[in-house]
Amino acid sequence: MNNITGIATDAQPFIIMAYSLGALALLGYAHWCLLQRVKLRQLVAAVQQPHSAAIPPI
Amino acid sequence: MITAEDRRELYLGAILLALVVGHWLAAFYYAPVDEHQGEVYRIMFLHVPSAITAFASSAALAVFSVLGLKQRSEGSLALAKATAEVGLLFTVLTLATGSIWGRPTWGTWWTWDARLTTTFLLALLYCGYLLLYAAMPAGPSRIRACAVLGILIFADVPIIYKSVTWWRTLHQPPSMLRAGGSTMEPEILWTLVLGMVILCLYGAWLIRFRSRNIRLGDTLEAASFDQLQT
Repeated sequence: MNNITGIATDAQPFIIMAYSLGALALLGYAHWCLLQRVKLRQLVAAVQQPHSAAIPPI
Repeated sequence: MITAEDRRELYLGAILLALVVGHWLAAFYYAPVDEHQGEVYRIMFLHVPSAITAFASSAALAVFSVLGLKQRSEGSLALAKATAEVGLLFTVLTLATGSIWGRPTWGTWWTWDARLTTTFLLALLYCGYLLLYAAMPAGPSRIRACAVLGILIFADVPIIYKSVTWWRTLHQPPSMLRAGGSTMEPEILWTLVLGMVILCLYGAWLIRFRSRNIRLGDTLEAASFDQLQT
């Protein structure tokens, strides 16, 4: 890492902020996808039953 | 309701997440302190792999777009849409972590530097792709329009890469791929390379996982339509 113009000050809050954001992004998106998968599986199973009453017609 | 196939996919995701955590531990405990920047440089172990994953996503988006144009299939479009989402996620993460690093190092959260601006443009292009996908009805015209934009997005990546040499910028020049070899300590270099590989693999897993959701959504739509007709 060369050609850095500034001098690092107390770094800890910035490192915590960056890695917390990283964890939130990586886990958050995967978690959202997982919840979506569960919901979609339920809906597909329900709608594929003939004349299912589980889902109202769109 | 989770199938056995979903479970296998989740196990793979969990393994990749464990590798990400392992890499972060290496970034904190294996890589030595940088003599110029001190501890704050450890943000680079998240920032640089995120940027590489964002760029790799745009390359994958271009590939899926070409496949979509050739095959005219909704499968390629689902993969391309998932890739654009994951690309946006990692581009925003790159900008955010770069901004957090910039505050103690440059003394500012943001500057309209060439590297930052072209990366911000990449985020906007990914947003544009997702808006275009959402705005058009399913069919050949959506596949074609999204494919053209998907290929165009990739054109921004070489501009981002060369921006630090084409223009006078605050952002540092390439530290890894440079004439005369990298100037980084081997421990730092290998931790960084490991992070790039792991985050790219995790990104690929996210793309696959999300694209299957998109396909399931299509199946649901088709099944609902069939049910309405019976």
